[in-house]
Amino acid sequence: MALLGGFQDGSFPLAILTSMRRIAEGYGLSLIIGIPLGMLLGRVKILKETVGSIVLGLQALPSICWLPLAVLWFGLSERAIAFVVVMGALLSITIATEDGVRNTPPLLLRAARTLGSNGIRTYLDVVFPAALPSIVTGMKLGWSFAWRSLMAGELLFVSLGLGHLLEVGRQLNDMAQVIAVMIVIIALGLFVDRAVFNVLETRIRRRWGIESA
Amino acid sequence: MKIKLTDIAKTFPSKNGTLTALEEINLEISEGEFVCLVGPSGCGKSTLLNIIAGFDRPDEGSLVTNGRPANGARTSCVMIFQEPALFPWLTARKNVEFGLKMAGMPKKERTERALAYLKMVHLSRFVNSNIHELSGGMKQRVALARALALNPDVLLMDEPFAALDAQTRDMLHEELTEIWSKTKKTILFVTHNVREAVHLGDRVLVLSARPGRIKSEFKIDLVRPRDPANPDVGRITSLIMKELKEEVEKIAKEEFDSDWAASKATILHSADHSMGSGI
Ligand SMILES: Nc1ncnc2c1ncn2[C@@H]1O[C@H](COP(=O)(O)OP(=O)(O)OP(=O)(O)O)[C@@H](O)[C@H]1O
Ligand SMILES: [Mg+2]
Repeated sequence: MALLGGFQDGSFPLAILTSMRRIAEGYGLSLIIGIPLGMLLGRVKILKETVGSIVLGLQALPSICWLPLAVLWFGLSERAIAFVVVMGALLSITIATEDGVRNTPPLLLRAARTLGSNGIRTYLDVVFPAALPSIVTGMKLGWSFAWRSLMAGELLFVSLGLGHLLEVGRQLNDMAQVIAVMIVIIALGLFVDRAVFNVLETRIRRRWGIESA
Repeated sequence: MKIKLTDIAKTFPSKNGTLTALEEINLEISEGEFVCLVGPSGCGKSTLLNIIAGFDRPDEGSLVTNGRPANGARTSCVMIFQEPALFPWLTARKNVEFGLKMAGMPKKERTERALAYLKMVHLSRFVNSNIHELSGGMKQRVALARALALNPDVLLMDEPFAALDAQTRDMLHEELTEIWSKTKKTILFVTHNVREAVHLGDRVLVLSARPGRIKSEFKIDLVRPRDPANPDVGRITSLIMKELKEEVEKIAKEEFDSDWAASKATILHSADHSMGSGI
């Protein structure tokens, strides 16, 4: 009932749109930074030993723990939320990319070499595509972290997103609304995971000839 | 392209000091020649190909191609591996185009060229297939087309058909012979299969067990296509097998040591079996 009502009075669609816009921005930024960073870490040894260990260490930190710092830096703003989302997704995307790069089949590298490819060409035309299955797995993981971080971030101030709607429900003592919003959050998170990432992952793995998931 | 190897030696670091993989390799291959290389496992066949391809540097000796010292990797010698090593994210045609793209050939030209070479290996119907849709033999054909498209002087083939079933292998033997006589490439072909070597090569070299040296050399002066039932083919095959068996035994002795005598019969039997299979 609350679920239907939420959609009818327009509060749910608005919140969904707001949250989706935020995650698109934050997650997109994580991809733009994370994939090249992972590619670099997998390639440059000195970076791996320095930045790489920091990345691994930071991953132990739940991303919402960045929020206080984000608020100090950016104030109670969009930027602070975006920062938390990025920190949620970035690390797992970076780590998975680096892992994929380091596990490029040596045979493919030898084939590239005998066919006259080297250096940056091999990196872009062989190492990157070879790492794609791993990158997509990292993207999937990154998505679920980003989604959780966003909801947690939105809870904390008047952000108009789904997380904020939860908080409003609590303030109004409206359990039905809280549960309805939770259902929406779960449904959206699962939907993207299944409809986007699972499909992508299965396709890539099949094409790349990786049998088991 | 003419290849001349003089006193090539290669050692690798190993647990107990160093391992001499190759020693005193002297070998001359003339242009357009089809040379087969057989030898027990671990005797340095792949190492030798790697040196010629420029993947590896010899510790001693010199490698001269067409009268000039060769160094670095070069597309005049293209290697074909036991696994097809195709890029699974590319279609068959795009795989063949890969080397041409690296060489900076314009798109239209390289597509035409890729199609022509895929036709040469009888894969015209599969140019747009994904790699995972192809059978093992088809994949190896794509790999062959991919190498040939670069128009290399030399094909270095490292047990290219070892992972294929007997019927597919027979077919690829015919195709390779045909391509070789058409294109006049110099081919250095590594195999464990003596019958395969005798079937294909102008010359068969037997490498000795560690350290790898050229133990003996057989010229195969028989007209192609060679019939396995031909007594000359049989005679030379068993001669080479005998040479090779000595080396295989040497290694088995080292590795099995004390219980060698007990297991001798079975090992020899199975070695014989795998060498003869598929022809
Ligand atoms: N990069 C390396 N580092 C250390 N040892 C190596 C290296 N490459 C090869 N070897 C050793 O050198 C020897 C020759 O290897 P190689 O791969 O050339 O043998 P092969 O004749 O091709 O064997 P197979 O028939 O099994 O393919 C082997 O004993 C191997 O262990
Ligand atoms: Mg080998």
